[in-house]
Amino acid sequence: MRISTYWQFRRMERATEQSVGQMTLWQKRVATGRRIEQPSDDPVGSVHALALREQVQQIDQYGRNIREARMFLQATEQAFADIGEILHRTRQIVTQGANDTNDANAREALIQEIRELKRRLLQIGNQRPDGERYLFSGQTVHTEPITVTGGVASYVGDGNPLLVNIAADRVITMNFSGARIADLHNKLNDIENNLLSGNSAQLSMVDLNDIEQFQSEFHRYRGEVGVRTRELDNYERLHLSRRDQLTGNLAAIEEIDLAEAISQLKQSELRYQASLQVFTRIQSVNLFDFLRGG
Amino acid sequence: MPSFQGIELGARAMRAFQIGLEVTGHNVANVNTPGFSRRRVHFANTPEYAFNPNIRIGTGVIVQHVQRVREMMLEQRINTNTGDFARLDTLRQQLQNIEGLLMEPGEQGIGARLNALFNAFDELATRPDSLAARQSVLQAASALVGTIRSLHDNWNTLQTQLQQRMTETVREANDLATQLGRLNEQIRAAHSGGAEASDLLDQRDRLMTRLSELVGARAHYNTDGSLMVFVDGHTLVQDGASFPLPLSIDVPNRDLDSTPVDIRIQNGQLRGLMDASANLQDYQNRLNLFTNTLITQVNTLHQTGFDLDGNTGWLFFDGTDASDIALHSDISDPRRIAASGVAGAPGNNGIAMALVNLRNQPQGALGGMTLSQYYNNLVGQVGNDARVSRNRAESQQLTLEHLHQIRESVSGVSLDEEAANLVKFQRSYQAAAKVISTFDSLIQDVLQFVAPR
Repeated sequence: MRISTYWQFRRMERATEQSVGQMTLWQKRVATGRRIEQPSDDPVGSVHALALREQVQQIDQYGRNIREARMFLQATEQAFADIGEILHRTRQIVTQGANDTNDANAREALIQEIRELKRRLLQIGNQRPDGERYLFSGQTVHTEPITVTGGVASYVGDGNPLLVNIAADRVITMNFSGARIADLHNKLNDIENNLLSGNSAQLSMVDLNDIEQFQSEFHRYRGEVGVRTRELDNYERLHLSRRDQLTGNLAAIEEIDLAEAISQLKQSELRYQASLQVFTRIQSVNLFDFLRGG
Repeated sequence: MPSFQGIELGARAMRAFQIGLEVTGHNVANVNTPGFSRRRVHFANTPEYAFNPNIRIGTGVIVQHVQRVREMMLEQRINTNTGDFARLDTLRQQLQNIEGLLMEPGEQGIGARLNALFNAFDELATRPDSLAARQSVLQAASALVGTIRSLHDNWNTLQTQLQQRMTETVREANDLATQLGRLNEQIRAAHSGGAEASDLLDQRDRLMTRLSELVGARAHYNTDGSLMVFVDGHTLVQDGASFPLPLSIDVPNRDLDSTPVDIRIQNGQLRGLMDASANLQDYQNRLNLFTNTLITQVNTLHQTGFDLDGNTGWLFFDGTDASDIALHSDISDPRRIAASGVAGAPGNNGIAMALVNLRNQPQGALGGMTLSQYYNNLVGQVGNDARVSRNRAESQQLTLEHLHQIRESVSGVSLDEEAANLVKFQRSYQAAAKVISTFDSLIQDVLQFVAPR
């Protein structure tokens, strides 16, 4: 085939252009570590990557939700532990009060202690661990849940669940109603009254039994907090391993294999040098060079 | 034999070889001129004369004509393929622009921003009473709104530019048509004089190729040397006259509205621009549908919820599509975000939860896809279209390159070849001069007999 001079140059030019293009591409990939710069680099891969990234972000949000729920449940757990102590002490007081051998001073000390326990119980029931939300109000989080009028406590929260997403298909309740705390407060009122009136029969027959009921009830609540906390831990572990898996997949789609990319870069550099050498070689030869002076 | 026949013969040959040298010079000079076809000198021997009834003697050489070396069939194929390539390459360029504006995959795109908003809703569901969580919802929503609006505006600008370029392309084609008509006249005049107007022909071929590139025009060569140009059924150039294309560009039908029939544009830049414009319009529509669904769904839920102060009926988004989506003035105060489904229960997260669940809810308006699926699908579509057009343009470029190579092998100037011709004509010229000096010395010999010393 006849090769024109223009074509000779054009072909060299094209070859050089192509090798420069390849080299720049691999340089960019090595520099950024990414193999998808825009969707057309891998349309299927990019859509997949978008969906994967969404899942990762969603999981991260579940992680934040779990941490939030855990804080709330930990505060609740502490509250139930404190109430447990109050109940334990109350039981001792009731047992002691039912015993007729107490003198007036001892009885007075027991009454004082019951009053102190009531104050602590109210503090626990109306606490705001984060300074904003009442732990036991239910959804009326800004309303103090237990009010006392004429010494009688009443629960004015709505006791409704505070729900948290901890996974795509799992919502848990992170709060407990404070209604039973108000009831317990009023039970302590009864005990106080019975101590005052020295009604040891009532103390030993009814109150002791009621306190034991409360004890087992709050014990159950504490167990329930434990169940929920363990569920949070389980989901957190699940999310972590799922996140590792997802980010691994994401990297496989979006990121280059560095070793391969570097070897490709080296190759393209060699190709570029070779094409430049051929270019200068060809350029230097021409029939005119051999014609001297006509 | 006339006495000076030999000298004339030599002089004629010298003239012929001089023309050969000039043509060679012209070829060398145009080695870099695009679209130039090398010229070839056709020599012919001049008529013999009868020396006597038995002997006829030649009288030398003349230059019969100087011709372009060109393959017209090949030119036609190049023109068609140039139109194809222009269409595909224009589409490729435009789709690349369209795609770049998506800023996907990445943290700046709508996909990531939509996720961030849903995450903020989820945060709000966990802390429905918290002002900080409300503030993040507003921030995430405002970032999403900004990204949607900016994509819309950028695409819109691109669409306007596409429309402008289509008009410019038709205008340029019409200008070229006028020039082609004029050239047709000049070429026909030269043709009837018997000489080939090579430079005019080259120029006309260049214009024709450009016309194919612009609007996919097709050429028909008449025997009188004139060229007819068609676009679909429309005669663009005939003889000296040109009939401009109308500027009534109809993108959906890929034609120019005209009477009695519309002119369909099959190829060339214009078709590439039309395809890009139609694609972009489709993407814009999808973005609008996506945005409209987002606005409607969020507002419908949000309107029924209660804010921190127990009020209800607030809208979340303002606007109807990607062109005007904004945060509604109802929620300029974060307290007014209606996270709660129960009046006076700031810890209730009924509406916030419903907003979170929107994330995975199939939307009837979006063909049963969720919002993010629909958007991801759009990204995939844009990416795929860009990819396909790039591949097609690249393979068409190879075809065109191949045809150019064939044309160059026929019509291109080779400096080696021209150097050889230069030597050949120079030597021939020298030989012809020698012929003259030989005849001259013969005449001098004769003159010595007759002239007094």
